[in-house]
Amino acid sequence: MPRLLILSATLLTATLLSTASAKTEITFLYGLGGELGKAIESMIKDFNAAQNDVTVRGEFANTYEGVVQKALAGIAAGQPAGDVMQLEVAYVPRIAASGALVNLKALPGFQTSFNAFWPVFKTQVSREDGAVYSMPWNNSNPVLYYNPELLKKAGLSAPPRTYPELRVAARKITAATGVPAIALSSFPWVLEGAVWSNGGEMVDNGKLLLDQPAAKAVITDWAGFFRDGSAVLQSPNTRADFAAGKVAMLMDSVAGRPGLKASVPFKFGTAPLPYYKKPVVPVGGATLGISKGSSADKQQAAWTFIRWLAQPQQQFTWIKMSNYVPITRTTTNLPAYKTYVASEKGLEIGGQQLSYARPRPSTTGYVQGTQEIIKSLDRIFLQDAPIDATLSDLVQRTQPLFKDTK
Amino acid sequence: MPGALLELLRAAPYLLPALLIFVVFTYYPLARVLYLSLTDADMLSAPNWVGLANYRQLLADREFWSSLGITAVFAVGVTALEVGLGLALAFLMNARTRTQSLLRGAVFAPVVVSLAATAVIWNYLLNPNSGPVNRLLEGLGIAGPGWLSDPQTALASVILVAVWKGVGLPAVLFLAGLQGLPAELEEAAAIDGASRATIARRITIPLLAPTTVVVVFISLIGTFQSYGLVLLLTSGGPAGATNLLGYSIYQNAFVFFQMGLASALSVVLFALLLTLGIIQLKLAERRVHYQ
Repeated sequence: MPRLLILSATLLTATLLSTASAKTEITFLYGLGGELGKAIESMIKDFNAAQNDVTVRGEFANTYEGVVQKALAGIAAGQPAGDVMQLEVAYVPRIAASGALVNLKALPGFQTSFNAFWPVFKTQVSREDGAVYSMPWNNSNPVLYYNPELLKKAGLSAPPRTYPELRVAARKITAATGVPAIALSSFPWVLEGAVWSNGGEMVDNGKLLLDQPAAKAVITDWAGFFRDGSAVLQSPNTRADFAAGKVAMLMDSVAGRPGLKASVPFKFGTAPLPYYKKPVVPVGGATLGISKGSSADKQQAAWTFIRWLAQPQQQFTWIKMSNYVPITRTTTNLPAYKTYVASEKGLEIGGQQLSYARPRPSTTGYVQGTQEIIKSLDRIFLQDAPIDATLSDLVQRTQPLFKDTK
Repeated sequence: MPGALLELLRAAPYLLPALLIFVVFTYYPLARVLYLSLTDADMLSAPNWVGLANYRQLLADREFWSSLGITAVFAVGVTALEVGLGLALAFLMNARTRTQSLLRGAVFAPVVVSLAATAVIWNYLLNPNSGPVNRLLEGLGIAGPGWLSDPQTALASVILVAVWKGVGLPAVLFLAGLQGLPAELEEAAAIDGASRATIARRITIPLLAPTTVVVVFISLIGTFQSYGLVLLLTSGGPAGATNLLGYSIYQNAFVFFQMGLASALSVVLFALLLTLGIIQLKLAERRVHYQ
């Protein structure tokens, strides 16, 4: 009998010990490929090597849409596609509303982590009811990239700071060089900043406000660039055109720097995003959410991973690889970060713009509304569609999409 | 037990695996899409029955009609070019020349190129500022258009890329059809003094009618369902100029989460293809001369 007891006790102890030391394996579903995908895998590797409790397995979903598609399939199947998911900010409200994401506020150490973020990111992830379903991670804001040689040919020694300056500069550049001065986008990211900087709003009170004076003035001004031949529509070819000296300026994500550096054969300049009345920039990017369908230990492991990624040292490592902006003030204040941005001229602008940044609208209808905005702006910019009528029609057409917006 | 029933029972074990695959992967999804089209499904919450609301929304939406028109132009354009070019290429590939093998390989090669690679190649070739096509035109003193970025030329450009990618298959089908034709008919016509053009017009092409029906049918179905090329080349733009029904279904389902509406669009597309298929079969029965 005593032998049996000893054997049972030994087996029980061994089982408990093995359970205690077993690593929790979680899946991180992400949507960035190429160099950024490699950077994510590198971060995962670092995390797995840095501790003994959690093993993260990265799963590439091709795009942000791919993450959502897999997440939806997982929700439908009752089996989460990923324990941690990289969710583009605009998709979070809808997925959270379905109850598929964990409210992170209830998790240990939330407030400490949350307080460290720049205010713009706190606003970005906070819902109206106070819940927080995702944490900021890879965020950026747009900057102005320019070709100093082409500006010089037009007699310009510095990039334009405001849109009125940009308008004048654009005409000079096109006249002096024969190439379009700027690539403007119908995708409304940069437009959001321009409208806000002109004192307007994109969406409010359940309605798209692009037919209101402040927004209409911006769109009219932008249409002017196209009508006098100093702008082209931004497309997947724009970066190649910029590299080939076929367009003098473009407004794009600060996280686009590594790609530009690799492809542009000349020393390009980076400047803050132009503005109308006051500087405002939109921040975009993705946040990290935890699947509610994951088991409690996986949720805890996922939370450990998310908090680790937000630590200043990991942030700095991530920024060096990706050129995304720092999400916490502590990262911005790291001596190593300061030294790094001093050596990477232009990179600091993304961080500096955070003090006047605003999160992109993320109401449920805005994702679909965005597609309608793109079509309408394409028609105005490329087909000379009448501005007033097109914007009124756009607002009217998108009205049902914003019916849930408070 | 009647003989027919006995035969069916004997055949059942052999048919069952294939039948099971069809039921699980074709008939069930079809029935499910039909059901979802009558709901407000969004994959995030349980679908609610909305009756014909999705169909009413579609019929009242001018973007749907515009998309239908664009899809029709795309389908007819691609099919017409694939049939015409495919036939011409088949004649060339059938001719005994030194470059016969090379030509056959070159014509079929784009068919096996992946869609993503096709998009990368053509995005580069058709880049309005630095692409080789416009550079060539520039050398000839012609200002090239913004192929994929100009609403006037985007659909035509996508049609051309689709034809480049797809023409190899009809060409090979026509080639097989040509090689299956009885040589004596053409020889008899030649002895009677018919020119090569007359032989082609009066004998070869009519005899190829069964192949033509297959090619038209395959091409129309493929083009009506097409969305990948548009997704990669233009994302339905600029100004919605390339917003094919297939792309619209993808966008509603996986970008806007409107699975009910996307299902309704799919049912409309299915009905459209079914109608086209029936018309085509009826026409074929009357007009095609099978050997």
